[in-house]
Amino acid sequence: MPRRRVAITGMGIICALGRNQQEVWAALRAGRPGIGPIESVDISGLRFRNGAEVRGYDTAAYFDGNRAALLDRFAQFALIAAREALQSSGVELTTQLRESTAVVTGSSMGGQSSQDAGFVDLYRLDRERVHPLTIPRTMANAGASQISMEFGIVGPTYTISTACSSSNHSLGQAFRMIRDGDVEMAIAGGSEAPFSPGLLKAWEAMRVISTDTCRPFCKDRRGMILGEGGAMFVLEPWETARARGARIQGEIVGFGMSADAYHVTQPSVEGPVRSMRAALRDAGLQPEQIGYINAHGTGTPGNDACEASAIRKVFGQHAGSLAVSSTKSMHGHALGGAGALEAAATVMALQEGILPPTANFTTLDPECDLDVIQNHAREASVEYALSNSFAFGGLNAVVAFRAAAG
Amino acid sequence: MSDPLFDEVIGILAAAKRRPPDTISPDNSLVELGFDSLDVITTVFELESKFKISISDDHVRSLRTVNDVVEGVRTLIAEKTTHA
Repeated sequence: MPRRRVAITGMGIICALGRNQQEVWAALRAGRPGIGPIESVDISGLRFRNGAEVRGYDTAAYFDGNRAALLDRFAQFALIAAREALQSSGVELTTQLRESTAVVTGSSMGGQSSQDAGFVDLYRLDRERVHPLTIPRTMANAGASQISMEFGIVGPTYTISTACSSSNHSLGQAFRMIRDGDVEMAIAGGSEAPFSPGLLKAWEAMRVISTDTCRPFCKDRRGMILGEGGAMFVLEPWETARARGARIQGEIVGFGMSADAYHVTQPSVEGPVRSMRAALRDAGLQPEQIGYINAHGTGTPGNDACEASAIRKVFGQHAGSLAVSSTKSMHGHALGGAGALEAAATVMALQEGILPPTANFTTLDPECDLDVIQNHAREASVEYALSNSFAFGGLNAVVAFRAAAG
Repeated sequence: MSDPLFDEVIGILAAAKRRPPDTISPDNSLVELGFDSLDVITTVFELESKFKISISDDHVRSLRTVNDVVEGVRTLIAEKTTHA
């Protein structure tokens, strides 16, 4: 079967910037960060205070009691995003389509917040038992499984957990299943909900969290800000989408992966270079055709300088004339959900002709000498963009997108 | 002159890199002793536990030499004693 084009026909998102696509886009284009003091968890005794939470989130607004009992917050975000994605796609799920639809989700921590809470009972409160739903809430595939159950989807359904690259790996795998004719539709993306005391303590010990805010590519950047949320996409073969008159929001045109084989936490230049080149090759694109990169841009001293070097190496002279931003400065670093949030930002940017900025920007670090969009969104008609994800463990995944009108 | 604190800190650094304490001098940089970023945060974790101090992220990022570590720990212990 010849390779098929892959259309994005649905999108759903929930994160610190909003509860749906419109709200999130409004914040992204305004350069308005969703970062503030952490409220959902007691942070006394923690060295950092800020996070990018879904504020005032009320489970009951989305799930009844029986259902909610089964769902860790990360799985709730996956479902909420999938519901919006399917609704916005306008697709009618027939029995036949349900059999040929895939669900691929990404998550780094899964439902470890539920496990953390359960183990408080065991270790601190000296109870002898843990809640019987701890395992189904904790499993990293809970998001994918719950989406499949809610919508009766019985095709290939699985979860990829590659730390901060999880969502990009998921999108890439779903993209290839459609391109290669394995399935006729896919729901793909990722979600994360890392705000629990044990997990925050573990991140504190890594010493990569900023004590104020996230300023990617700035000289005075001091680390990342954790975020939560999820984004899901409905992917379909281009011709099928056209034939049913779907509103095509964008196109995935390529996917590249690599491993650093270097260090478990220190970033490398070569790994990201290989994954960006692989994405370009997969898409059949020349570097000069890329007009925007939604960077991994965590705001840590190590990542941003390495990523800038990698972009310079891949794009050469053109690196100076392509726009770069890190939307993590607004929605925080949602770990295994990050790639999905950033894919949403990228697709909306291409669709609207407005590139979201890097918020909280102060002074460009000379070591990150790129055309970083600073604080204010930029109007630009861009046809092709990359979205980078580089994970702890040295696992890299890059997705290439094309504007819908292209 | 005997400096028990110095010896204790050197002992922790030496154990972290599995080398004899007498091969470490105050002027050595952490990098030349083979400390990468993970070695630094795990060693600082040990020092915090051992001396019951808290070392800020910015302070950790500023540590370059063995002497920086020893004197940083000494200062934090002194501050703790003053505040106690």
